[in-house]
Amino acid sequence: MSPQSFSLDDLSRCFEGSIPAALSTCSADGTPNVSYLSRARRVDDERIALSNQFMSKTARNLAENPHASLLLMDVISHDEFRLQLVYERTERRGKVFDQLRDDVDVLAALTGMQGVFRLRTADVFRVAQIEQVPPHPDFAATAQVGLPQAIASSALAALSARLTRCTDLDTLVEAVVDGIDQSLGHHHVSLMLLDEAGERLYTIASRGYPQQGVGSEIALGDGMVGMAAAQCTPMRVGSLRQASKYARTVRRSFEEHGEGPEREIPPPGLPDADSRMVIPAMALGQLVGVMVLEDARPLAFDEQSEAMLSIVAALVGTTIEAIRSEERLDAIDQPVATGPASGASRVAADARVRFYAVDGSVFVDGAYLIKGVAGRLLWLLLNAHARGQSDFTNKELRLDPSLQLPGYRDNFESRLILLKRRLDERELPMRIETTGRGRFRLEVDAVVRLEQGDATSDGSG
Amino acid sequence: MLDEQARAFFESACGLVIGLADAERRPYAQRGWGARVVDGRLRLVVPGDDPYLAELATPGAAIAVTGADVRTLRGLQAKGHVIALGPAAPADHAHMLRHCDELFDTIVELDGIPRQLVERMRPATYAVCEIEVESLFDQTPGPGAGRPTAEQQA
Repeated sequence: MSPQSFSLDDLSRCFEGSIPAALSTCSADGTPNVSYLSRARRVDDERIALSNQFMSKTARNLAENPHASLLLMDVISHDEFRLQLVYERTERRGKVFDQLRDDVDVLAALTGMQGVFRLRTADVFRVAQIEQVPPHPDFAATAQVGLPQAIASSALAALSARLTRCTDLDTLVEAVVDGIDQSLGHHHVSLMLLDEAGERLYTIASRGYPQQGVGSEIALGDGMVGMAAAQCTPMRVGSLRQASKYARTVRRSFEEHGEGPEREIPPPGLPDADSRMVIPAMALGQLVGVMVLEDARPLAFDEQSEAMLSIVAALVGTTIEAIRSEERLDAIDQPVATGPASGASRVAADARVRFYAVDGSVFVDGAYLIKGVAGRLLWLLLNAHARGQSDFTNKELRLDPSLQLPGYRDNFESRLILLKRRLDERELPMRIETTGRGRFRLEVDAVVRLEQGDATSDGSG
Repeated sequence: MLDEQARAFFESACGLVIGLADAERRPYAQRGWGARVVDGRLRLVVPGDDPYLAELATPGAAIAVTGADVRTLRGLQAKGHVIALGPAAPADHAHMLRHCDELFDTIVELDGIPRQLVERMRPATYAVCEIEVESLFDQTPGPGAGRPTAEQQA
């Protein structure tokens, strides 16, 4: 074998990707065994840890004979390395185990296999030798392709300053996705907030996708996004196509059979994404939402970008909570003021709005618009508008029992902004215009027909 | 030992990894680049410029070969011993070319990896390792990984 000429530093990208590694072990009687494993992690300068989900024969061999040989691939250059290993120990808890467990959990989440496909143990090996498997000499490496771009601290400072100048939620969520796109150079991003019950995330803003997906939802713990939120831990995958191969096959099968949820807004997503990073936004130890970033290139996000975006997420979380707290205080202080419905001078078309009280879902001209608190809010506003009211205050609406807001954490402003953005996204003849702090006007440019169950009423804009 | 199903699997464009071991039972992993079943034995194309592989793959040496379908991740492991390591016949060469082309096409299609990068894995020189297969194991990731195949159990 050739002498060692590589260190684990040289193999850093091998530990980021999801190309399955191949591990060869050998039993006491000298019979080799070859199995694939999903993840390898660097432990320190001399050791690596390998995930063990199903490798029972490997475990038996290592108990008899500590030597192993591993083929590991750089996900960017496709350089392959052979590591000669000596098994040292098995861990079932601790930092190394937790890191590998998170890696495996992300892979499992991509295929809906949480709780089934999970890490049993983390096997720690000392690296005795590293050599590169000689690549074909006629094909040069293009190792620089797709390397993560470093985020300049000046760009982070500029974005931070911009976020701290935001005084309302609508401005803030736009500044977040625009700033990450323009200032930090990550062009596909969405911001999701936690709902009132703390059970689901909903998209409030996105950038860089054909569909904004405002109002799309993901349950906490569901998939990579839901899992990062549930665990309040950043998660990233650097070769999503590899990792989600199986998941895409299953999804395609569902779509071919015309099955799947119909009344859901699909979350924004790049069809050819190869990297994804989910960063939870926290405030006062509580989850506020998550930022989801995607890139078509492999390994587009690294530890540096995760750290930088975590700073942004922390700022976003605390700013959102500060805005919410201030608006709740305003709601207590401000007098309730209402105004008559705006004139129908710009009436352009009819709109049929159908409301289902069971889940607050609203359909406009037969097409699903929104559900939950935002749906009930729209229904409340349109009924009030039909009675002649177009100016509203957050305070009066927050107190309306028909919205079914929880008393302790209502997130009313978030739902109002969600509704506003969803109406804008769909370019409907009704929109919400801010008229002051905690005040807004419902503009309706159509004759609206309101329908609920068997009951039907007419309202005009 | 190699039934029709196993033969079809190993002759398909699956990813192949072999394991050998030295006298001190230190294992050594290397890739294979296409296999044919001839006279009941596996003829596996391996890199021809790996002197350590040549040192280990002596007649009688224990060897393991795991194949993985890159589309379905279904895996199968054959264990047996080396009959001989020697130069490739023209049919082995032709099979290796087809194997690499088809495998690399699938990787490019499924994973979006540039062809030039995938081509770096293609062996510059090659040899053939003839293997007598003695046992087969399901190597598909999951709770059944490592179990003898149903055919073998029957």
